[in-house]
Amino acid sequence: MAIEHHDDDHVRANDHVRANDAHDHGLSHVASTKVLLGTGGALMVLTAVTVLATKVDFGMNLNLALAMFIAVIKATLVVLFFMHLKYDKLFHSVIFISAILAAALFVGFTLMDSGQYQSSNIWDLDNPPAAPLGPRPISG
Amino acid sequence: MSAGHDDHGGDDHGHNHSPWIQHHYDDAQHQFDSGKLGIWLFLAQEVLFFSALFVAYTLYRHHHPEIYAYAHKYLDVKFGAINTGVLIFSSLTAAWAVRAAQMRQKKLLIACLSATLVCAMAFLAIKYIEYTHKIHEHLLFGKNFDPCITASGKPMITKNNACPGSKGSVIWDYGKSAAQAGCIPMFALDTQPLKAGIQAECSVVETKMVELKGMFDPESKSAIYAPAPDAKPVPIPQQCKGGDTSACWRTSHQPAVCRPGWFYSMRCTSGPSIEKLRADLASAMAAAVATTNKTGVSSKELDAQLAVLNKQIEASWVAGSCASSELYRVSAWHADQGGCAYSRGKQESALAKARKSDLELKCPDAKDAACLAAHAKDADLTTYAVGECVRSDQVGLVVEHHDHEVRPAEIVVQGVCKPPAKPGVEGDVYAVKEKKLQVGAKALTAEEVSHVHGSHYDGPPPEHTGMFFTIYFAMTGLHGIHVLVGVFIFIWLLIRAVKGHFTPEYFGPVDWAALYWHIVDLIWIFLFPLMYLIH
Repeated sequence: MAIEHHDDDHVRANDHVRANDAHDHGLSHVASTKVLLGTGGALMVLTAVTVLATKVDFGMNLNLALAMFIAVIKATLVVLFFMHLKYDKLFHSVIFISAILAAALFVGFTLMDSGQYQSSNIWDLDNPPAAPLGPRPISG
Repeated sequence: MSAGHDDHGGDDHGHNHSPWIQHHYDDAQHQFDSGKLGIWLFLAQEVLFFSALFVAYTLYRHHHPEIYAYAHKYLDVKFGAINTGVLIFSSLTAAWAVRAAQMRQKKLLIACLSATLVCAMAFLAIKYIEYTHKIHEHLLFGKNFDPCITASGKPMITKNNACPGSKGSVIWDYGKSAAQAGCIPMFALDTQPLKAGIQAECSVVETKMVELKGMFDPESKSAIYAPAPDAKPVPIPQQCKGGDTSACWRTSHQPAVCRPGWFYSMRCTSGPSIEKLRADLASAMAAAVATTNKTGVSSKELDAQLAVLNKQIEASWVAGSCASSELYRVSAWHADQGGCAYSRGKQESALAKARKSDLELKCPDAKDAACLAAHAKDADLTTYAVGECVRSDQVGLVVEHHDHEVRPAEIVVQGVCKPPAKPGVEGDVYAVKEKKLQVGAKALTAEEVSHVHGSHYDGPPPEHTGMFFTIYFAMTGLHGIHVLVGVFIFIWLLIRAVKGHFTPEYFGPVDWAALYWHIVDLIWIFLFPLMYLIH
């Protein structure tokens, strides 16, 4: 038993040293140093790109879209490599993506009816709204 | 580990010799997978948890882009960027810690966990610096938002008149019908005109940061101020000269020190008519621009032209009842339509260039220290273009003593305040003169709205800017709490790593903590551009 265990360990460790993308010899996937450093470096570079991109005027919306695009790429890198989701069980991806989708629905549905809002809930004495819309401003 | 699955289920004397495999799990793999599933469910919950705040952010930004375009300038991108780097690096070390544990590299594991811990603490330290600054400048959430400065860093009037060291304001006490205190910045604009206490109309005579020389920059057509290189803030003495002493500004409410470049008063309610001043000054300025707007003008030449300009301006100024016994020099003026008239920011102006070349003429040998020292005063090379905003009904005057004399510790402010002639109107940022508005009506004209919405707008904060900081503190605060929790988790992991608990058979806690830490990093990846990098 002891020998078997030793061998098992030995193979796993060797495996990891040789080919870090090897699967299922240990409890879970071992990230290679190359992947770790590459991901970290890419994240740093993308951070610099985000900051620099802000200095260029593409228009408010395009700048926002660009910043979010880069952020999504960064987040994807973190999730795939740092969090090992690329090598992890599919079910974990399902859980995580479900949460992201739920959050997206949350944001999207809230924005959907935002055109119905009053631009202000401050009482206009001349043109009072049909129904009370909120507290009156604190005066004095 | 599947080898031990059948034979050694639940037995920690066999293959799974790690004492940390609990009895109710079949084996190490079973325990690890269960934990991992748990942590992923937790992370999904974290995403939903934060999404509520992202909804608040998105919705409010959708409706009030002008607030975001303005308020983000209160934040320092530098701190945000450093913190992003710190978190990314700590994510890398956290991921590496997992690898080290899997590879039985105890020393590396300890090093990685320590690095992650240090980064987490560094992140919190930087957050502490940022929050402290915001508390100091009253850049707080909701009603507590009462900033001492505009987004571009100029001192501003506030409701509570309590910004130490950097600005001042005036409080109008309706009960006593007197101004309590104050130090009005050049543009005494109200962020909440309906609120008592910030709409007092004060005529303040005399103001001058004595270390500053006022000059007119032909290039930017604006006033530039050249503090001496060694200029130090001058304390305001506790005295009040002449006039209605009951309304004198109380030094206890003055900033402890007045910073170079800040002007602490201006408003004339009883002087010559605004129209006359405007006409006089406009022609004087036009003349000055015409004569000085050429290249290679020496400082002497420019000074002479400025003197002509100032004489004309002084004449119109002194003629009014606004003038006090002392003479003033009006060095900048522009208030035709209200709004921001001047360029701003630190820059080397035409004057600075002229002075530089002037110095080169005087001291041909650049190494002649004695000559340079002798003429250094003539060559204030540091110049600041000071931009100010004025209202359409406000005469924008920067006054200073006309004789250029430095008066040590002699800043005396004389002021008489009275309640505003008409009550303020909501949203009156740059109110159009004589436009009658009801409460709740929008006071801004289309042009002004575009001005406020423009990314270059740097007057007082738009209405309800406090909402930005409510969301800012909620989001960064919740994130910061997660970092704090991370600190404790990594301390715990570090202790266990030192004790040698983690092996390739048992490293679940490291893995799960790293996953948690990555989600904290991931949220910051979005928070950073959404808060700091608004364009």
